[in-house]
Amino acid sequence: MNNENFYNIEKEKLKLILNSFSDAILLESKDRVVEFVNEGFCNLFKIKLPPESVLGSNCEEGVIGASFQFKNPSRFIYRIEELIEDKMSVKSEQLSLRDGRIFYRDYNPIILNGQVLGHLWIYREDPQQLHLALNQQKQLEEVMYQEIMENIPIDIFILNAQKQYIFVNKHALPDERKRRFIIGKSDAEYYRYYSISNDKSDVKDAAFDKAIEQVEVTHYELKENDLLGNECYKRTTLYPLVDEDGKVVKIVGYSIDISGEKEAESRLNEIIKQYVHALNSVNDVVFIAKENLEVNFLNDAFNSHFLEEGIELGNIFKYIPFQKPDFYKDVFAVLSEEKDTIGGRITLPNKDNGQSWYRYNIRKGVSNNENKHSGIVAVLNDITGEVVLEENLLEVVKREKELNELKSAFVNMVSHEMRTPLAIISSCAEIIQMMLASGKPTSDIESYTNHILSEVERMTTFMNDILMISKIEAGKIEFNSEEISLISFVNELIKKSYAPWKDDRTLNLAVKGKERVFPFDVKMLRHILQNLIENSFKYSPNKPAPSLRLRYSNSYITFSVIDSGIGIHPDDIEKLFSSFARGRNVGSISGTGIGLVVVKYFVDQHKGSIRIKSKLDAGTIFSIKIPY
Amino acid sequence: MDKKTILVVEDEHMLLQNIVSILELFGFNTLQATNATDALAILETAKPDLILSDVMMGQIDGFEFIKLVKEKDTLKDIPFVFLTAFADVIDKNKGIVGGAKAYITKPFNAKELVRVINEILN
Repeated sequence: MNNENFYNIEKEKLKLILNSFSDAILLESKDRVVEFVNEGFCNLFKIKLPPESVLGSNCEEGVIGASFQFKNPSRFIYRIEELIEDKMSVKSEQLSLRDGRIFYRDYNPIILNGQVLGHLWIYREDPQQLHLALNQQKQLEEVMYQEIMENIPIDIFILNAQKQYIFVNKHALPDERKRRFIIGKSDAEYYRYYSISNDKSDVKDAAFDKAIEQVEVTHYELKENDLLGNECYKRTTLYPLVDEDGKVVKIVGYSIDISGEKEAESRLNEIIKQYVHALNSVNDVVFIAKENLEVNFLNDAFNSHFLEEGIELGNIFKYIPFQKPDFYKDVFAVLSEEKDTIGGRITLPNKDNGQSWYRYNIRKGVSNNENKHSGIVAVLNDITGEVVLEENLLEVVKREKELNELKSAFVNMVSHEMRTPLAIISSCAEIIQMMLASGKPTSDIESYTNHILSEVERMTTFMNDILMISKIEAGKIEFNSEEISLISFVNELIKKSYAPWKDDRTLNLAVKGKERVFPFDVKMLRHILQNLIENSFKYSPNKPAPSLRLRYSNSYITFSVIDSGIGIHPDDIEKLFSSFARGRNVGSISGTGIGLVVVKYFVDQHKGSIRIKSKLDAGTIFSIKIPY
Repeated sequence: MDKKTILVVEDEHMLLQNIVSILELFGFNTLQATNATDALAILETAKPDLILSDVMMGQIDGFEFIKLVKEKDTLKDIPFVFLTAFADVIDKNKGIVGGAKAYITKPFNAKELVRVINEILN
């Protein structure tokens, strides 16, 4: 067995041994090819490959690549060549690296029987130096992070799982003494020690517990004082840090000042409050509904108009019955964007169980998002008073129109009633003239003059009746009561005009019951009796004389005027008390058609009543009942 | 010249008598009725040269009466004159539209009445 073969066998054994070393080991062949590296070598020289991949590579190239990690790369390369050349073993040769690390190197040429078979390089890092460097770095990092945490303008604190502070930065607690004190204390202990009232401890404690127990990022917002003692709002976020078992070991908390945000929010709330207050102050009912017609605002006026008690918000149908098709047609016109705004009138049941009139206006609601439908805003304005006024006005106009028509009809009727007697008078006069002019016997002239006088009398009566009605309508007729004997009054009246009447017939009088004296208006009573008695004579020509009956009962007196005349058609009886109405069968019997209107008014003044019983061609009974 | 016959319809007896007297004094023959029903009955047998009628009377008024007259072929050509207490323009138009030749309002002048009648008849 030659040297080389022996070496090759022994080399494998050597590799096995070398692999178990923690130091970095490189075994080169005599031709400077990598025969072996261990993991320690790859780690130390930061070769990001497994050791097997490095096998077979050129060591001279490797030296050049690795030299840049050293403070003096050319020295590193030269020294390796020198050592190989000199076949000198060295032990713990120091090498300085750029990153401050110090390596120690051993070199051993593998020589067997004077023949170089390979090179063994052993590198190791200075263990003391390593610890020192790590510590230094850690300290540097700690200082840096602490400095950042201390100086960052955000409140930062760290709690342990027992909710005790393990770090609080300057911003969170500027007083150094207090900052030192708080470490290892809970929130409650800190506040207790400094006798600070802490009414927010519940909120904070609950948030700490939530972060710890539920292992989740938790937020809370509190009103606090800032560094200058001004009130400010802070939003705190708690991040739980967990160990390998998922158990919370620390909580990192940081707070940011959200006063600006809060102020804007509170200003917005204030504005909203003012708007709501304004909407609640108006008497108009205001609804704001979403596109599905769910009402999300209803002002106070709703209650005062429709309900005693408050009502929970719901669909608009809850407030305005669906049986209002015009209103809902308009609602859907706005919802479908057919129209932006629309108005109309509606009646709604009010809380007094009546109906009120409202003028409504529906418009598109307000939305920040142009693509989103904004629902509707409906305003209901109570116009019941206005409508009532309008209706009253219409009623007045209607009544005025009716009055005008009545007046015009009245004037027409008066004109008509005057024209007929005037035509008779004028024609009589013309006939007399013609008779006189023709020299014919004038025996008939007397009859024509009588006609003229009779028509003048008719017109005078008519004028008096018209005047009486005018006085009645103007309220100029006063009721003057007098207590006199009715029987004497009637007897006197009969004696004066009806015993006998123009046609020689004499009125019959009959009295029943015991006479009672009671107050009545003498003028009115005379008019009533005269009118009825005149009619009874006028409408019963060539018939037995009419009668007047007085009957005294316990509580009233009845006058009945009875004739055996032409009678009244049943359909005409009711109309008799309207102006100018006359029976259809009056023929040539003159009359104005207004006498009974006056009679009715005078009877009403005595709180009495009139009853008519009549039969055509048989006669009529007018009965007037007046209570005492 | 034959005497012309005039049918006078007037519900006021006294006035009817006076109109008849005036017309007769002016040389007309007359027929008399106090309502439209009686007048239509007269027209069944007689054919006057002119009808002089009141407007407001009985159950059938003057406007209804002229309508009934104008509906009958035998009567429709008889000239019709209203004599009425209504002085309203609307009534006048109604009268003329109904086919009346003239509309004389009460109180009337006897000579004027006769002049209008003669004008129509000639």
